[in-house]
Amino acid sequence: MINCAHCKEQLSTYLDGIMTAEEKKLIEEHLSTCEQCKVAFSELKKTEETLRSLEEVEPPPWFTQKIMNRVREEAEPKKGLLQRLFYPFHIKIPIEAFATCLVVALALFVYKNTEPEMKALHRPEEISTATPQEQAQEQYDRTPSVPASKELQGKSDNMLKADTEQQKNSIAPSVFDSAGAGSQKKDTPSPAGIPERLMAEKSSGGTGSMYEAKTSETASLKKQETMPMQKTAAPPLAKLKEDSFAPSVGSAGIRSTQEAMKSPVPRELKSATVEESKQVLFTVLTNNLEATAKETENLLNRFGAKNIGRSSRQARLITFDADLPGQKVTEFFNALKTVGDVKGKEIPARSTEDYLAVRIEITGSP
Amino acid sequence: MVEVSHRKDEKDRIPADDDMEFVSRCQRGDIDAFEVLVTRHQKKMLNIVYRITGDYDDACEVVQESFLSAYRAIRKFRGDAIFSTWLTGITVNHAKNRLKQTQSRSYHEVVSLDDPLETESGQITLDPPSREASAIEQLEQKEVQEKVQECIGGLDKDQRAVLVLRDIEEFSYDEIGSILKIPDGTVKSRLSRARDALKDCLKLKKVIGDL
Repeated sequence: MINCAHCKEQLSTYLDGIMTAEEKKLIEEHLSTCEQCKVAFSELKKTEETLRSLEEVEPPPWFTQKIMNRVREEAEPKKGLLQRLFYPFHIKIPIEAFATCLVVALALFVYKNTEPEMKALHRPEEISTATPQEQAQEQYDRTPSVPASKELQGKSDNMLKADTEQQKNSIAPSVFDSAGAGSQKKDTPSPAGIPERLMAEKSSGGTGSMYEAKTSETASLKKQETMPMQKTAAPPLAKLKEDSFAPSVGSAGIRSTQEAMKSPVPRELKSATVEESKQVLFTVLTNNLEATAKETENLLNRFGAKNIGRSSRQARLITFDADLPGQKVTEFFNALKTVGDVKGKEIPARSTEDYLAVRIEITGSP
Repeated sequence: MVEVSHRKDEKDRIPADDDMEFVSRCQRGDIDAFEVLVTRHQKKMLNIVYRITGDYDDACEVVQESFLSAYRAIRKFRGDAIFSTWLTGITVNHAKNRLKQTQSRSYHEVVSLDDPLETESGQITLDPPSREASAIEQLEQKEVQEKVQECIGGLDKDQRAVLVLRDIEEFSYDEIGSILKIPDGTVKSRLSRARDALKDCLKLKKVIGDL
């Protein structure tokens, strides 16, 4: 005989019929005598029946397709590797975070690398703020004859004129010789005056320093030349700029030094570049070529032109290149009309200190 | 929406040999063969998961994941057990994991036992009226179904699994043992406790009365 506890334990397996015939017999014997266990068994049976009577649920429509879509996606990983990496529904935060970090790092790297160039771009300005001051100081120290004060400006202008007048005869031809030699291929006058102009500017840097050498040895020149060497980081552009403004320090030295002393930011750098890009061209038609050329030269001197250069590459063409004070250009233009038949645009008077590159082409009529 | 069919209509079990052919084709990289297996087993898997989790949408998701897992692992399947048992094992594991997640999620949520369950409830009314069952009978049947599902939901996940596999899906003890990877004795005792607990619950809900 078995007791109720043991019977109840076995009821579940008895219900499934998976027990030996002997065990089965024992349970059945107990159930026939024990009402409590009998009730328990029938309840268990009812429970099982209830579970079996549960209705099945149907899969949603396209369920197979949905499953297979995911399986196929999984089966072809090579095809859509990138797609899978950045597939919006499968959040791949590590990859995206890594990409962001990479971009930031790259940006920093680029910024760090380009910074020296940014500095280099600023350098010419720094140089120009420093060097003309120094030069000015030097020149001021060495040439006591040059008045620094504004009241004596006129006087210094006169002196400058006198100097340039002396200069031009001795130096100007050599300038153009060197310009001509430097640009052999430009035997015919080039229509674009800028490259030639640049050459003239550069070589006139030589004249400037020669002029300076007369008054103050060659120290200043050396300083100018060594300047770019010291600033090794400065790009070629900056060098070019330095070169191009150096002569104006040399030849227009007195004036510009005063200027540099007045304002911390020198104007030469800016004005030089501006002048280079804008050359004023006057064409004069005349019957007497030589006489007109002489008169023009006189006019240029009268209006305080500097760096006067004369060239005659063709039989009936004489070209003058000069730097003319901006405010005198209009006056010069009007004066030039008295000399010959002038073609050229009216130039509005420039602000005081600007020098304007001027080219006068005198063409003799046959 | 959930469609319901009576289990009497669908009693045909798929022979294991049939599956093996498609399994080996799958193992050679034939995806279409896997589709056959999905078509064959999806309903059974869905029902198992649905009864364990009690949520139809969850069950659909779990079944999808289960098939995906099965596909990934199919090369490792050596035919030690029949395919459906192997697949059921994967599916039940996924279902139990899902249950773990949802239970930890809804741990603090207070749910009244009288609240309507979102089971297949609505679908019965959508079904065309059965000839033999009156509206009241249908309603009663619906209530019973709900209560049974609630009671299953009251069991722990191991008991649920064994109960569903045995009393709903009618797997043998051996099969259940290999699906759940537990010894025969454990299957018996666990099933016994699950049935007792369910019986008490159903008595409490007056689904089964004093006879």
